[in-house]
Amino acid sequence: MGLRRLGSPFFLLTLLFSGLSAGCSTPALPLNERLNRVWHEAEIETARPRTISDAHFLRRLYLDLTGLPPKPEVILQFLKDKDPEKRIKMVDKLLVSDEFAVYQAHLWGDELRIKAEFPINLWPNAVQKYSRYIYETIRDNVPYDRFARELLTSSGSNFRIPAANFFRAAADRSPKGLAQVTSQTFFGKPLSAWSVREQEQFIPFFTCIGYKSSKEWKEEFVFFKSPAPGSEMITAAVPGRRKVEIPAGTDPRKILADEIIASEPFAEAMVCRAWRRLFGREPVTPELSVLRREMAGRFRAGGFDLRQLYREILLSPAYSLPPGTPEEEKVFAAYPIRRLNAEQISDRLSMFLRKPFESYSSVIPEPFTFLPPGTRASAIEDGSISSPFLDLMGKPPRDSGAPEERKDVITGKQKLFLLNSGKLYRELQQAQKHYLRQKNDNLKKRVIRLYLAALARPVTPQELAFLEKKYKSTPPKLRGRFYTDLLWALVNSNEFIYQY
Amino acid sequence: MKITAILFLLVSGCVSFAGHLGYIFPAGGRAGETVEVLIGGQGNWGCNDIYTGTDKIRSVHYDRIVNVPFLYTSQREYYRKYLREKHFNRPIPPKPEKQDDWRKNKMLDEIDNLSPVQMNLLLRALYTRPNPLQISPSIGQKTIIKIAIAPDTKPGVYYLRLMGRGVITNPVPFMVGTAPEIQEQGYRPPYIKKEIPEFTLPASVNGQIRPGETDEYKVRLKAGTRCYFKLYGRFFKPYVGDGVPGFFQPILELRDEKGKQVAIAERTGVEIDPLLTCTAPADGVYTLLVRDSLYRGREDFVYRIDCGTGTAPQDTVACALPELPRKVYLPGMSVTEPVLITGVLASGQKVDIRFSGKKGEVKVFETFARRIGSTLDTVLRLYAPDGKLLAENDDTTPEVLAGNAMHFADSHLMVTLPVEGDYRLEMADRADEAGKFFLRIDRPRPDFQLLVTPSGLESIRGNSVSATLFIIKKEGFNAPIQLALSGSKLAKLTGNTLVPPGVTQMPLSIYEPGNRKGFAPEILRLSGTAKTSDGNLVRYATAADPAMQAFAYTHYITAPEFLHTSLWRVPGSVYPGALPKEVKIPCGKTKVLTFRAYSLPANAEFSAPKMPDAPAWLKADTPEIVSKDTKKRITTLKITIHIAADAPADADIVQALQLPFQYVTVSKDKQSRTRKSALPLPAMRIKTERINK
Repeated sequence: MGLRRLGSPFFLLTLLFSGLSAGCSTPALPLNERLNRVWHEAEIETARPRTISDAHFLRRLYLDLTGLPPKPEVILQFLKDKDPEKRIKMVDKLLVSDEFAVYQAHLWGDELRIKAEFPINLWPNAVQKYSRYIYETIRDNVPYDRFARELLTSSGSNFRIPAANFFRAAADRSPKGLAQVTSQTFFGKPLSAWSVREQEQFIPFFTCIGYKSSKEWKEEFVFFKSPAPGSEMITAAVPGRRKVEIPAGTDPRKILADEIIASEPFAEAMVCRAWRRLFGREPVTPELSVLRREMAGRFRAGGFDLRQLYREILLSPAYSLPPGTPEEEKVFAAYPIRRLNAEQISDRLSMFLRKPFESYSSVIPEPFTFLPPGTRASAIEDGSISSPFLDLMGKPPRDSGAPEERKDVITGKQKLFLLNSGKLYRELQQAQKHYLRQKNDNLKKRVIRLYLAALARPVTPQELAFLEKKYKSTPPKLRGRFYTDLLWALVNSNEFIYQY
Repeated sequence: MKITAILFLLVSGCVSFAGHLGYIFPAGGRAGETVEVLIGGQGNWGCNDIYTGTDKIRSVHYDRIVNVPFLYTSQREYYRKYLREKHFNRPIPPKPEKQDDWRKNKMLDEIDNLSPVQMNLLLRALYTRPNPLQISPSIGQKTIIKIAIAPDTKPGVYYLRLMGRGVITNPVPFMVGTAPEIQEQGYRPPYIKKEIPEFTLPASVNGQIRPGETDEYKVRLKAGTRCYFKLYGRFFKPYVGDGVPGFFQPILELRDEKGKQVAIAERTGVEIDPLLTCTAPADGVYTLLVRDSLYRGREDFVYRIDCGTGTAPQDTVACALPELPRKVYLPGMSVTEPVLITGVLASGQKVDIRFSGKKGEVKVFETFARRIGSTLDTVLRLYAPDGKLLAENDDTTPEVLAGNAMHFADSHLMVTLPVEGDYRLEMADRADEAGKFFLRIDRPRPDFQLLVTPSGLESIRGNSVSATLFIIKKEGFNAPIQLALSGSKLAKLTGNTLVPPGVTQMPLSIYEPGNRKGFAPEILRLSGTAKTSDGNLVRYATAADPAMQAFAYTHYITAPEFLHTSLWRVPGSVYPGALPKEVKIPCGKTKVLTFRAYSLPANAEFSAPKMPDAPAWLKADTPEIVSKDTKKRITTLKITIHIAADAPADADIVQALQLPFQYVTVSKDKQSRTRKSALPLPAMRIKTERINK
């Protein structure tokens, strides 16, 4: 029915008219030009350098795309590289890397509520299946529309058909509850953000989703629950779209998928999501509405290519800008400083300490799950698996899928942990042995090595001079403590736990 | 004398021993070789041999292991140092003088002569500490057996049980192959570097997934080689009672030399274990990884991988299709019964079939898809001539869950047609997927299946022992079934041998006389005969053992044979025929049954009878001793059976009562001891009736 409506003369006319009008009033501009125009209109002119250093760019890129900082050898190689296109090449390399797929799958896991326990109760079997599916989808760069369609229309066992978990992973599986998770996932806003009328028209799409169980522990099947023959056809509408009539024997989810994908907010929500993952904020201000629409248009026209969407943002001037004022951040004329998320901090610590900072297990399955030693915090599939450190740092509970669940703010308790933790102190002492044990070493070499490992950048001459002065003024007996203090200070530095 | 006393203690404690075999590692061997296996189980102290149904696979050494106890620091450190120094051929340290808290253990005493399996167990005990929350008693008892496999043994799956005098366990698959055997490296202490086993195709790889483990192997492949890795994991132990999810879920992964994933496989909707197939993209040494999908692990997560080149051998799907005229499906086709329609359902499509029917006619519609290896999850809908939905069926979950299946995806409908006219039958897939199917349109063909448990029956000579019989009825079958037992010269059915029409589960009493010689197990065949409109139906019972899944569901794992073994007499027995096979008791009334027991201890004191699965309206009093003939050792007993007033008027059930009693024995050194036993009564059919006032 939905396809029929798409092919109707009225719809084609509407599409043509809206395209023409859009084209007449605001011709689509490439992202760089659009950003420049936005900045010009916002009267943002700065005397600061308009691009960050290579080391800074590499660190930012690695943390945003893979969740991890670059390794010292990667930094040195990148800095040595004289290729003027090395940033572009690095973006392309990371977008096809396994680390990108793992980290992005983890972030998707937050939004798709992949969690074994209450209130989602997906159970470990479905969690591992669903997570692997998300990972493979990103690894293979499956077009976003196909991904959405699979999530919205899949039926079958949630242990075997991973995409069927979309309608399984909801705390409230009433039609309204499913409408809520669908709106949150594909429109980036809760159901309550729509008008009452729009909500009422949207909910009927979810009235024919059935569930059944088997004799396998916690297995559930999601399927189209066909209404009795002779039942009235369902009338429903996706917010911002016209009403559609669905005959009784047709699975409304198929029409729903068509309608959602065809709707404007669908592509725009993904554009916003990509900005949020790279900048920590979405282009939702009125002055960025044209930018958002234009990007969504290109995203749609390009076949919903997620890598291309990321690439466009990453290679825009906005991504290479240094931090600035809140007014500049509002229009992406500066890179917003934000705390790294809980998993990033844990993984960073593991990298710097050269051993897993934490090990993860779960007592939900029996025998218990013991994730392999060295498993990255951002590779934990199950939202129910956590640790006191991750909880302290604001790991999201994955209850609603809303981005607000993740608490990336620094608190007093977090600062106290980083300053006072006995565990961290012991681990730093162990790591110190590694960093200092190399032969023919001197202070300079050690400091360079420590800065690369801890802050993912070379030490500046000023910093080095300061440290040399400090080292010389330290009595020889206490010089061992000098390095302990340095390691401790690096871990507690803003650069260690902030993305900037 | 001491041995006799121990045996007496063993047999007097219970009627049936019910030893349990949890796992065998490695789970197979190569024909012509001898393999040392570690077995985990429970209650297998009476076992000293194996039963495989063939003399080509036999045990040549049987060693019951006493687990190494927790060792305190000085003893643990000493033995760690002892083994380390021995490994490096350095002088062995002297034992410390103070050994107050040292513990005794056979393996520590024989530390210089341990087999590889024993050494592995000892090293684990010395270097690792099991999580007390993860210890499972059902696999705690260890046995090491050397199994010799004759060179002419046919490759395939055999079923191994532990057995002894009058005891036999459940069977566990044991595979015999011809390819070289590769085994995961055992536990390595910190001073020995762990090496990854490397092999070329073909090979049979054996391993065990312990908590959080990922096993690794290196396999050398040539570019373009089409290879397969068929893993058997859940196959060996279909269900884990104290595990959630309730079975081992292995994942197989193949990575190239750069660590890039080449292929990954896990169970599918139909196959219970993964099959990984791939064509090697380049020459090189690939890494084969095996783990549980949830990174769980314990000793009974045992696997065996058949690795080879070409196409993987296919497992045959055991489901007999009905012998009916066949037709190939055409959309909208009209059919007349009986017919077996065959076809392939396209993705997102529905099967649409028309037929004519008369009022009152009973029709059966049944799909065969999942049972023949298709992934379809069918749903059947029957529409009346006026277009209204008349009946719908999705899954057909049986009351008794037999085998490995947990989702009974095939559909079955039996409908009495309300009017004369043209009906429409629709078949669809729940997930709109494609797949092969057979669809039966037929009249009802009443039938039944029998399932008897346990598969290894341990009886006491001179007494009867109860097995449980499940009757799985199909398509309106409701006739009485006459049971018969064959395969034994001595053992016979006793008590009630007729399955009443409404019964789906009942006890079955098998009597073993006291004059049997030897202890070799014998294979029994239990058959049931019933009269139906199609003539006499004879069905043989399948033996099975209960297994729990995830603390929740009870499944029955089918066994290749119904084995029987027996042991000596225990105090007290009831001869067959002592009780009536059938009693009829009016509702609200009682019935006193008098019978004679032989060789009952003079000081036996009975307690309340046990009636497994008895309905609430059936009660029995504690038996009373009426008289005793001490010379002939005959005791006359009476037991009163009560039927509640609110019992159903026409109930027809079968019960086998157990009469527990305790008695006191006095040893030579005048120490008295209270012992427990039970007097098993043969199965009895109990009918109720309503008396009209």
